[in-house]
Amino acid sequence: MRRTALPAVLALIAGCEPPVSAVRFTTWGEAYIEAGIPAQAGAEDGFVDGWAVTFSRFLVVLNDITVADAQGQVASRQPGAKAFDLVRRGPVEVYAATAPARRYEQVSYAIAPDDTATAGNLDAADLALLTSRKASVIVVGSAKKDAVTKTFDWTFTTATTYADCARAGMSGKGVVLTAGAEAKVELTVHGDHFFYDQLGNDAALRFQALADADANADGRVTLEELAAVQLTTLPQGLYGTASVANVRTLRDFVTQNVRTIGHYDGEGECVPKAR
Amino acid sequence: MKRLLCLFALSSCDASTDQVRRTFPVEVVVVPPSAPTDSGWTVSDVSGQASFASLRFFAGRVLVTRRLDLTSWLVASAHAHPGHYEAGAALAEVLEPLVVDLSGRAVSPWGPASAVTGSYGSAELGWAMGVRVQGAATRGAQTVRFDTGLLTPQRPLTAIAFEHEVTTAPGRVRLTLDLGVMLSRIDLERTLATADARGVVTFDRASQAFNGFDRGVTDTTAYRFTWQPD
Repeated sequence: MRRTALPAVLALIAGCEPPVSAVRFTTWGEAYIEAGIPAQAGAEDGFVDGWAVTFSRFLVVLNDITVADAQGQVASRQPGAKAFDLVRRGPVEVYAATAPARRYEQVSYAIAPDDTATAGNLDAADLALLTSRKASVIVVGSAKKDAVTKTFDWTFTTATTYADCARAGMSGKGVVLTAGAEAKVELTVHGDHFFYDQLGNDAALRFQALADADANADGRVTLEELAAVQLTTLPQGLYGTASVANVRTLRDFVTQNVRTIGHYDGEGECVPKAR
Repeated sequence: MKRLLCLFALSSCDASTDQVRRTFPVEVVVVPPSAPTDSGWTVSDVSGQASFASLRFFAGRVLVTRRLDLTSWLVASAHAHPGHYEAGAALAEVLEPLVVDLSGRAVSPWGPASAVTGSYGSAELGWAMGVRVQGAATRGAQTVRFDTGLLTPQRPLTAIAFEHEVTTAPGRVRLTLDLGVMLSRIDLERTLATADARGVVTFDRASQAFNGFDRGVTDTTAYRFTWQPD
């Protein structure tokens, strides 16, 4: 509905001063969340240890999408919060607004719990799941390697603001709104980050250590089981914590990775800040 | 080599950019552990050596999650963004090897950095021999004299945060080595070794204690770079 209404609004006000533009924010989990993350094969990226992961749910709560100028003067802020299941086909709209046409150097958003969140593209049961668990992110899925399958159902209550968002390449920070036109911004979520084996650079995707954490061998890898695995029991060189303080277990490690899933127009970056 | 060429290229382009060639001194100071390790050992009487082959500075920033609340800020937590760090342009380098006496507490010089002005974002430490620490660890009534054995990381330590706008203003860079971070993960009950005739336990390289030492040495928060104006 909004897709048809917004240009009409722009047309009505195009002759007014100051010139007004629109910005439409969508979110997308890309193929890694919608279709799954394969084992690395040839030039194709994926898990380096032969595992492959598919998600059955990837629930996130998006809020506080903010467009501001370099001085922090806010031109637009998302009212309320919306929840999405990124396994469902995207991109899907999150928020649309109008603002005076110009460059806005500061764009930010948050992935954070909000018990007043409304449903974006998910059903009432999944929305209730997020709010009852006071969650910002819930990921449910399975990992397979040869004849072995491990499932996971992980809930995270982390609250992270993704600030100072910038597109990849040379197009710079923020967003440019042009008079009479509509700018599109995708809040991209990188589902593969859960499985990075480094908190610094040179990270690869691995699942074996997570699979091995299934202490009771029931096929379900729980966050409690991950919490029981000290990183010092894992091979040296894997699961390095780089500049992250107080990460000692696999649960700590995966939870830190959650804070890095938010991106900007594909490979664009934001600066994650714990709220 | 590519990075060296990059730095060389920068130095040859002074006329066409705003960057100015300069040098600045780099100095090093060691701080001892100020808190017990994760497993409750209080480490004292620390000695040993850390040896570096090179130091380089780059423009690329380390994307980190900075906690905004005071208590977390005090422990200086900063969360790197996995897989997304790009070193970018090389801006300065010290190629003179350095051996740091880990028992010393005075500020000691490393050498002058050949540099250009610009927005610095990160640093890289190249290893020579590596790091070896000796000391005493006490927990309750138990005291263990230990020797970590020599750890030589296989790759340079990259993406160490150092954000500063380096101009032509006089000043120097200080590298602070935090032994507390380096030793924070060692557990003297998991050395897979017994004391030798001198009463010193040397970590078995397959032990959790050595693994923890490796993780501490490669924790980039053990290396803090700060600009010290003159």
